[in-house]
Amino acid sequence: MKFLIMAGGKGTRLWPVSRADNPKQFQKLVSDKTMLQETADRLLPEFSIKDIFVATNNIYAEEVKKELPDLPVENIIAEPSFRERASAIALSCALLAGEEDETVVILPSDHLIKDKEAFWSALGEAETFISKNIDALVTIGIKPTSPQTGYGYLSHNEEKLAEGKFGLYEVDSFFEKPGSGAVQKYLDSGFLWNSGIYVCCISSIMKRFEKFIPDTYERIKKIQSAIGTSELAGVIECEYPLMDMISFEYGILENDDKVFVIAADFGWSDVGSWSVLKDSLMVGDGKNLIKGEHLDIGSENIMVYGSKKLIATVGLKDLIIVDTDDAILVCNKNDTQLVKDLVHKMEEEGKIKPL
Amino acid sequence: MHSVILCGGSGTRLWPLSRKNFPKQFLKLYSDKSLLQETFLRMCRVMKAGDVYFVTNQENYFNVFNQIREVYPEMDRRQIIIEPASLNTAPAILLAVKYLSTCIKIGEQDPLIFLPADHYIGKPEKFAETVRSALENVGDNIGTLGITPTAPVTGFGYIEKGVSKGAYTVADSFKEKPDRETAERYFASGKYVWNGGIYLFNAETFLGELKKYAPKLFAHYRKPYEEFLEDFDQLDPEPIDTVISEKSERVVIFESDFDWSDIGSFDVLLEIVKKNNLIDTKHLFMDSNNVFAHSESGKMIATLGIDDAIIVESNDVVFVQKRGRSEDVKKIVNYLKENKCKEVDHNIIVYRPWGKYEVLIDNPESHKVKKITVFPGASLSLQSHERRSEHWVVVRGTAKVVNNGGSPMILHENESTYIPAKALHRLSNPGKENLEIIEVQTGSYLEEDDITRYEDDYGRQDGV
Repeated sequence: MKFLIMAGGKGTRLWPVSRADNPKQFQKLVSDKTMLQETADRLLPEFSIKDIFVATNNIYAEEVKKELPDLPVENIIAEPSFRERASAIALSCALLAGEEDETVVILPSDHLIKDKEAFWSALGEAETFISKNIDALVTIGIKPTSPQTGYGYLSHNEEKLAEGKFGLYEVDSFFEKPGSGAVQKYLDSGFLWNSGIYVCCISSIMKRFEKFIPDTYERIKKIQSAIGTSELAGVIECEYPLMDMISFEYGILENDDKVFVIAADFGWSDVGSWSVLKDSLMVGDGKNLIKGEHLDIGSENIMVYGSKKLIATVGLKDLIIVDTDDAILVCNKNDTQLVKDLVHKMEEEGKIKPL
Repeated sequence: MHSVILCGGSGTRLWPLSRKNFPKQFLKLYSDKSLLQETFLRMCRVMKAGDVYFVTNQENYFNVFNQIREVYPEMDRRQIIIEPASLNTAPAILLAVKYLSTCIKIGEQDPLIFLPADHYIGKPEKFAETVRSALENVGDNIGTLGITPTAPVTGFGYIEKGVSKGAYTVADSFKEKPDRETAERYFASGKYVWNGGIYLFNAETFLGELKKYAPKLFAHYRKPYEEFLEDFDQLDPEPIDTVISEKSERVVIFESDFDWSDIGSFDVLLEIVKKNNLIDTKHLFMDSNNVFAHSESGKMIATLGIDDAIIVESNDVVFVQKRGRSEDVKKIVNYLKENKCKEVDHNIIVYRPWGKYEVLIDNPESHKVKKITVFPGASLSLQSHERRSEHWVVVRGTAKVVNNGGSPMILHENESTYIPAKALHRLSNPGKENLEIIEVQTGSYLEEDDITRYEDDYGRQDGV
């Protein structure tokens, strides 16, 4: 089994800590290791570092080398520009030529998983199923623990197709991030969170590109034909930015009728917003979550994420305060999904530099 | 006529911005000028800049000097009166009258106006008109400027109006900060004005009232000037209000409405900013209402989906309070005081007669990095350090450096030099713009008291 860690995102949702020039996957958000290091370490020692590939933007390649010194340099797949994740997967599969019969686990580099043994079990169940159903694509679903509006959801057939720690089902449909009205309905209907972790045979991913995003498939072929020649870098440079700007979920998964899900549960979170980070890190029934030096008079349910300065608060409620070297964010804890829009607006107004 | 701006205060109500070593009057809160600069420029509408004097303490002398020179380059150092001890307004005013009479030789009937350095006035032209009329009409009374109340505010002192006599009204009584109910009664009656803490009188009247109501201060005043200064610290720290204003029968009110506030809290500041529609273009407030944000170090402050909050950043503290909770700032400050935290008294930026410095990195065991700003024409002392060496990189402007007793050399931007331990050295700015250097100190002992001074333009022997 191979692993393809997707580490090319710009991660604006955790601004101001996560920046285009130092995005979330390279930040020490949940421990003294970066999210990328956490992701790689989670696979070891059960799997070999030689089987881990990291797809990232060119500009982050050095950072990846620094953070994962044992990773073979040729296992870093450098993207020449920012595209959707489907393009990064396409490029990676193109470059894994010769490994077509291998099963690959595609996983984000910036998620939190608390129980790694359970995570391994889920991967094992997926691999077993794929060995018997070579065309299948298995996504790891997560049993929801709270009404998250920031996650994608999926529904599945009742019939259990494979036994195991969690069980495997056929996926019915995918649902985009719900509004706060719809989310309860999703939970009541037994929908699962879509973690964005996919397991599939490489040749079968290629077939999906051929069927659903043929233009991208043509470009994968062009890149593959240049492998082993001096042209390769130039061809990637030329073809990659032209791949369809379409997400993997929208372009492939939602049209695919051979998608299966493992209904897993291993303490997963996408750490995709400040409020999710707060919920993930909160232990027990503490009132406030604090990082750094903090002094408070009468605040409730606040998160303070400081760096070097003393942060003093008075009479606040349901707020998230983040201090970094050059910016401060004060955000309502229910609005943290909108930080992305805030960053976009700051870029538009020239208050911060876009990448 | 002369005016005296009292700028020796050291309040903590605007913590974390105001510190003991950089109090409120020096802050640039709602414009590109500090409250002290605004106060000075307001008085310049009424009289010559050279007739405006300042009372401050030793610690803040250079803050006053540097800030006033920014807006009035011809300032004479004799315009600043240094208190031998920081007491209260009564001793400070006594000192100013003594100084003006003895050293500047003003006339006994020359009208003087005394005013705080840290208040906000929204209608400076109207204020100037009021002051002009008051100086003209005060005669041998103790005049005070009373502000027509615009709301039943509990945070200000009030003065009760008596008989009207043309240009002024007799003051019947002074009232402490009232409770809500009393404030509403005062406001509804129309018989009260806010006490702005601004006083006018001539030396003769002042001394006459002192003799009557404060014989101890009067006796002190009569001492020869040297002795007056020497014994100054024995005076009681009393405000002028209790010593004279509340007792004298000569107090008269010049009432006006010039949009006044003492900026006693961030809540008040938020109101001022809102009322004047002073939109902060640096920061970004998305889906947010009634938010005041201020960053001393020029950070970007972004808010999302929040209401009624005050966010203030200084170089070592981020402070976020719910609007209306200003009273609790005191609790934070007290806690920090009890625990002897540096965040109360000192700011990371330290102001000096020649400029300022900011500590960027402080690792007491091995190194310290500072950004040093030297004003045009200014020099640090000729000095040496026993146990640390220094590397200087010029990042802006031009530096003149004397190193190890050699002849002076000129360093431009992007040039550097090395000062070994024990070497005699001196840094000055021969240019017309600020000089900025980054200093990297290394050594086993990096405290400011490792310094031997050989020459100093500012007469300092110890300290930095």
